[in-house]
Amino acid sequence: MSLHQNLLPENPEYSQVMACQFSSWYPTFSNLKADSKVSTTSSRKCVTIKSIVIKNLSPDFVPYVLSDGMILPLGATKVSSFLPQDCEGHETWSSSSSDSEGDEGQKHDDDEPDSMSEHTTRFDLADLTKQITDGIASLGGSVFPKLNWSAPRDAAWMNNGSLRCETPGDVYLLIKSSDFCLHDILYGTSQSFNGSSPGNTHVTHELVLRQWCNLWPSMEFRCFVANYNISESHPLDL
Amino acid sequence: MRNDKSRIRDIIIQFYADVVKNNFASSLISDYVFDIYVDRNEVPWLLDFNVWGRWTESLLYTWDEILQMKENLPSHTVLSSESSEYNLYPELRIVDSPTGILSDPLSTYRAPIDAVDLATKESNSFENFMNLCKKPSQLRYDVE
Repeated sequence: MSLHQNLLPENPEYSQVMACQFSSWYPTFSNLKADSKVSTTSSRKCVTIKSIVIKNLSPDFVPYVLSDGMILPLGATKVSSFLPQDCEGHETWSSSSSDSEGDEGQKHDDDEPDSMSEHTTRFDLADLTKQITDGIASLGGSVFPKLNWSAPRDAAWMNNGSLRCETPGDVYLLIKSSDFCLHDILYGTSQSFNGSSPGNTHVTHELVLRQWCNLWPSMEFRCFVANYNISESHPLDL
Repeated sequence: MRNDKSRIRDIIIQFYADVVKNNFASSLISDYVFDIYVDRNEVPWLLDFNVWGRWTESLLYTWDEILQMKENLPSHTVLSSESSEYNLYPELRIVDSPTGILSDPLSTYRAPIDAVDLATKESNSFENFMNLCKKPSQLRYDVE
């Protein structure tokens, strides 16, 4: 469109990408409190939303996210928290025949011949499921999930239009349905970077649970910092 | 609305100067994007950081405009409220007309309504859909 577009790099810089990774910035900002001299922040416990980062994800996590179909791991009970209570105890997405949302993926699974489901691998992510359950409990009962960089905002339609998760099943459903999260998963192996990057650009995948807050979308602002100057900002809500 | 806008702008500038600027990536990175939330008590909350570039949605701006602004900015100084540029930058852009927003960047991730219909309507709806799908291919066959 114009010359300015050419000033944007073709690929992101490795250092920038790593700095924007959740676990890179969260420890810094979650510990900012009393030492801040600022009046607006000195009385506050935290300047960001309380979150838990789950590292050391089970080796099965990435294969699970990349696998076809929409089947919850073994042990991730209760398909989704917005389903009626009587669905509790069903273990698989496809077994919730009373699913009120009527997602097409699920019905397609049901329509598959039985031989298909026999060949489908059920993943067992028991440790992770327990970590998610504990994480949700310690963050007050509901969370919104994200991976290293992205939240599954594109998959909200799978979860009643919201990213609010109350069960591990909700978290799996959103992460597994999201193209944004898929991008995070594939990042470590396929992304090329501008400028210098260490030889080993392996990314450790992480699952982040952030305390659920009812935010007014119109009061979210995206701010662009250029040359250490904040250049402009505007609401995220579109 | 104008007053709110200027107040929100001050809150954001203050928050950036106090909290974000000296802490993000040990000040080693000069260009980035961050998201904040201003709650009803006008307290700002840090939400997220994003990479500078087209991987990050630029929302109400085009990246062209942002780069133009970057060029016009004095480098490596924080604008103080006394400086003449303070009123120019940063610019806070908000939508104040109902027609100001034209598209939802997430709209391409939604499912077609047909998919929902197929799954929720009476049991033979998928069959009907498949019959619809057959017709175009049969037509092509007839032409050949």
